[in-house]
Amino acid sequence: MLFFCLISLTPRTNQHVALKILTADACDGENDTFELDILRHMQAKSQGAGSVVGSDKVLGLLDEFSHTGPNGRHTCLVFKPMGPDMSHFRSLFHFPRIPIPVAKKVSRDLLMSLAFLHDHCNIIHTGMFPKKDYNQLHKSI
Amino acid sequence: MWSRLRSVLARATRSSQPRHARGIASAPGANAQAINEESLSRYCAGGYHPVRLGDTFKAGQYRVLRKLGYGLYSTVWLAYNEE
Repeated sequence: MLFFCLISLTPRTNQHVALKILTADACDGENDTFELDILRHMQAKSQGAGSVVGSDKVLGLLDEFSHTGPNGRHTCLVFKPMGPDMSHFRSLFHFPRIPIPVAKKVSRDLLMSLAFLHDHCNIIHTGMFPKKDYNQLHKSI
Repeated sequence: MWSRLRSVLARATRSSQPRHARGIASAPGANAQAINEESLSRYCAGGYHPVRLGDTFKAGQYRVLRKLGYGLYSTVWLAYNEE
């Protein structure tokens, strides 16, 4: 996932979504990233896999559709809006360093999501780094 | 004497105004931070789709509220599901 989310001060409801609009050449074009195919595959695998470790730790696709504009046809993906990525999250703490109990929880969740991807979906994630690791928003934020 | 009084009064009102109201003369960009966004040149055929706040997608189902971020192959927006 290449997007970067910030905590907003507006109240969140279940109806707020993150809408990711891909470039026209990223869908069936010269720069196809296969993102939609991978997400559909993950979704198919996670249905009926509620008890599989890590299935709830990956960002699932809520909706997908196509939109045609002046620059071509764009694939649009709809996700749940997320909180700050890990590099931004770290900057919120003193030093800045993530406290050990928080780091342990994050590491555990990360490993569970990777286990789900590898073992259940047969997908290898080739681009893990803090800017791609998102914290879930709490309803109270 | 009146000219001295005028200049004193002018100085006093100048210093009571907030810095930004004095005009361009105060150091421009002193507190400015460079903001990184996606490159404008990629808004071309095959590139990003131009989005305005309030735009709707999927026959009016999703209404764009604000921008969340961008990547090399996408822009991401906070939207409201009208359904």
